[in-house]
Amino acid sequence: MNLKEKEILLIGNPNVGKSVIFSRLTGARVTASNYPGTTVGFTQGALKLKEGEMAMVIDVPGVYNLEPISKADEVAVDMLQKGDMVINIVDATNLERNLFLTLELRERGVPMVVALNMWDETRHKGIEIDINKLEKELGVPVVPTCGLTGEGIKELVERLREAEDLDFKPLSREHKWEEVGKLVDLSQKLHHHHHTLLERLEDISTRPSTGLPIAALVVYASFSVIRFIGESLISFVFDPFFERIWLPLMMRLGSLLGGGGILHDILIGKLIDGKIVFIESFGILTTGLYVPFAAVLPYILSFYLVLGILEDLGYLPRLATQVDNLMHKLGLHGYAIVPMILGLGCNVPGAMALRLMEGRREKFIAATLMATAVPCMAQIAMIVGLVGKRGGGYVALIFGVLIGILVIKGLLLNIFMRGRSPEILWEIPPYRLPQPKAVLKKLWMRITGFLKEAVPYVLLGVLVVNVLYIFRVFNFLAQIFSPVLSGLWGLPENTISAMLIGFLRKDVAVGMLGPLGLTTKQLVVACTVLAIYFPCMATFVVLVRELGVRDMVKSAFLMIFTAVIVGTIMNLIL
Amino acid sequence: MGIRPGVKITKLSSHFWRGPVTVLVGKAKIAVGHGVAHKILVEVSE
Repeated sequence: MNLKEKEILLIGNPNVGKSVIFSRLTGARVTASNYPGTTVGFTQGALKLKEGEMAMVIDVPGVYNLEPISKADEVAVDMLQKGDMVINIVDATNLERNLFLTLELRERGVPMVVALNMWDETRHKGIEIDINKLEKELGVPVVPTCGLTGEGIKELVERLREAEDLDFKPLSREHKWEEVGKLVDLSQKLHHHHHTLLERLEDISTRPSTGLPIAALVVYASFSVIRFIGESLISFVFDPFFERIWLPLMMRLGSLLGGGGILHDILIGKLIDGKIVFIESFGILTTGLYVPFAAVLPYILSFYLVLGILEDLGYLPRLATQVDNLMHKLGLHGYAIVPMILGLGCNVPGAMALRLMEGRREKFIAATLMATAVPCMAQIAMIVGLVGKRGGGYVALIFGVLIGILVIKGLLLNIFMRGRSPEILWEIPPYRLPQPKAVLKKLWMRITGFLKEAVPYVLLGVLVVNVLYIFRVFNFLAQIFSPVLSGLWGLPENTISAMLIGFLRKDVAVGMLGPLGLTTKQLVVACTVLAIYFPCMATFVVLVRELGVRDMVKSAFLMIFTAVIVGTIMNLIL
Repeated sequence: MGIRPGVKITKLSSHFWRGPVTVLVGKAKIAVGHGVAHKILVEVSE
């Protein structure tokens, strides 16, 4: 078949490596990890064919069959209606389960090629597959591939044109499984193989007696490593750069601008004791650059490095299994840990991963808990930077309160919302050694994503702050909100500026608390309230899309309510 | 997900307090909620 301008769909079970194959085919950068559900929306890219012709390749979320259960499944089944052709990606180490979908796809009549992916792993696992027999029985081209190394991709592209319209009569569910059984018996031989070290690790991290301590250890070690790398980068790389190279430049620019005036204040900011203080001056070229690059970037870098390694290893589904019990008490199930962990990096991808949740109830609970109690890494970095100076215990206090809110709010929502959290059912992939190249590529994607999306908003935020100060808008609003701010939370009226900017960027908002001369108690209350009262704009937009307007309004009401209550209690107790 | 009549499954571990059960089906490991696991009736082979 002629492939010019055709739409080719990549369809297969979850976690068979569709996204890796997609990157190989199109050269496009997409996030791939070793756990089911990395891709929740569809991504498309162009595939160059030989004669300079292009075809469109679409990476579709993984499905087990064509009867949709979750929103991500629906996306996949909808896509199938409009595709011209299917590449069915099959996990070669798991032929039996994967082939059911293959048979379903074959009945749809759309031209199809089967890619037997993870071909390299079959050898280690003692699986031998006779490709020719399988191809003959299935009646469609079958190509062994290995997405990670790129093996077989060229042949896959070449054989695409062999695919033709199919005409197979529909079989019932039982008959399909019978057919799958026949196909597997004919084409696959299993050999005995010895347990590898990775497989032994799989066993001990799954069993609860050893799995729970391992989970605690992994989480603790991860945060220690993130902190160590983040702090080292700040004190040995970014701070020295800003203090030794950028500061003299800015001082000179400042005196060129006359040491004061509107332009000076917007670009350089206020001088503190005659000097620029990067975190307090609030000029676009000083604080505006220092916040994203020196305060936040180091932590974003270390967080996504550690997360990438855990993702590619395949640890997340195991962690999900270990915490399933606990999450059920909060009205969720274990897999809700995935959006929460992604939310720790940035709430936006966390909110997008909410699609992994099947029902409206859990989606609502997960979204509300994440937006209130899971601060993003940018915010965490700023809190650590600012509050940490007053003592590490205060940082711990803020996170302790947030964890408390997560647990209490989850317990309450679980009691008061009708329905119950669904049972889990997910596949636990084998451990795979993370490939340094793949990990770095993913890290690079996420870092450039952060820089492209966050830096403009931080700069805009700093500009807006300055403009609002010049027009004295904050003074006016401060009076309106003073009953809550001063009355309930015990904060000075001028913190309204930070609360407002929090809608735009939470890291800038936390930074704004710096120059206000707050007491330690006020700083702790303000940081906590900033974390819980409302999501930032970018997250809000995604949440509205995922939850719908009605649920979002309810959820936002709960967030503001929590902020008022928690802020007041902290003000009274501390 | 491959758990169906006539297929051999092996229980690998189970969590306390009615927690999830992990089973091996073919070459795939699957975590199953306690309630769902309860509905899987097995015939013991040996």
